[in-house]
Amino acid sequence: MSKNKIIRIVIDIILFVAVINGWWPLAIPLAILGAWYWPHFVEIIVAGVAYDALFGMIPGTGWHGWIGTIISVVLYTVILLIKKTVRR
Amino acid sequence: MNYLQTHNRSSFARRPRVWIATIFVILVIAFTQFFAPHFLPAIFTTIARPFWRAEFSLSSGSLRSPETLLNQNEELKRELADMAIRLETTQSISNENSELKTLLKRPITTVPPASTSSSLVTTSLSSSTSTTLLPISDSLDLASLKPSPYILGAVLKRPPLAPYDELIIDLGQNDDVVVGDLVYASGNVLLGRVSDVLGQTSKVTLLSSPGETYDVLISNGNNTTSISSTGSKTIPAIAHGLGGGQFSVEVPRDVIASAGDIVLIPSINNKTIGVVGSVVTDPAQPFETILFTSLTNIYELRWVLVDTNTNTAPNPTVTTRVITTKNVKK
Repeated sequence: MSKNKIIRIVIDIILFVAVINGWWPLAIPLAILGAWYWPHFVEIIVAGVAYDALFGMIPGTGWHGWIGTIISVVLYTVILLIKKTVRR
Repeated sequence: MNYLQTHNRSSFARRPRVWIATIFVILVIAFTQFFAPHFLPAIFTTIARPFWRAEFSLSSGSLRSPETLLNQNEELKRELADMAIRLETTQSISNENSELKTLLKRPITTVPPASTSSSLVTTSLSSSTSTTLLPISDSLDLASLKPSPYILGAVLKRPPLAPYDELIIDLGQNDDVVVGDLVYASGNVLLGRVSDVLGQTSKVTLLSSPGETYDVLISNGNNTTSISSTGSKTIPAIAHGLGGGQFSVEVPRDVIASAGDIVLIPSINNKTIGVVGSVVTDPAQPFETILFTSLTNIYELRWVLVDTNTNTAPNPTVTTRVITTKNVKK
């Protein structure tokens, strides 16, 4: 297994622990780092959905319960666009 | 001049399938959530719950030595015995009081309700589904003890790290918890309401959650110098949740309130929710802002009581809390 994959797995594990515990100040920088470093860091979206599933998604609260998912999709898209522009 | 290309440009533009897959996954998630709102939360909560339980157990001291636990057990048994003796003494004094009042032909009144310090009456340590009786109430007559719908729940997650200003407790559908049940901290302090129920866990939206508004009564009965201009000692107002156990209330500047005033939820039982911390007054404004906090520090909450009778009996007269400890798993 390449060093790159090992680093990614370690980042994923830390991200998992952060999401499970609700440590969003740790999860967001890690997700940004991963999305910047790897081409398709879809874990960021999984993390966002997991976060909302654990702590949000309360019926009747509307989009407020989807903040994690929304932020993750926005981060994923924005970072991809920035990478595409910067690395052209 | 030609330059070597340092990066592969084929990352995303040449892979529309990735975009399509991403959008497809998001749509699937949205549809799943729309048609089965508890599907995703149930999956992720099932994964997370063992970790939460482990964390709770560790923080509860499960890794202490058996000797320490045995000593603690003995100490608690002694405390229970002391409490039982104290209760019996109180009972005899109460009976004596009633007899004296009868002799003097005075009306017999009951003990004032809403005692903030619940005392432990009895417990059965031999059974895993033991019950603990906590009298809080207007009558100390042991014969009148009856089961109440309060269930003790462990707080698995709490603010500030949980982003939605909510608690996650280890009670769910299996424990007859339903959406709307009121949740209390010890001392009969109203904390919030169950907003979502899964199999073994529930989400509790705190009264202080941002965006939540409630009718409240600011009672300055403890402070005789603080009386509103209308002469009333109870000021009705609308409280706004600020998050983290903090609330704000806007009232006309004429209303005199001060730090230490008690804030209640208007009902027959007048549940206490907080105490006024400060009053912010601007001479240029016709209103003043009263800031109050929950009586319980929600950042240190470990146990809560869920009133499972909330939806069936709006104002139950509780004489005794019977807490089933079958849900307390260490």
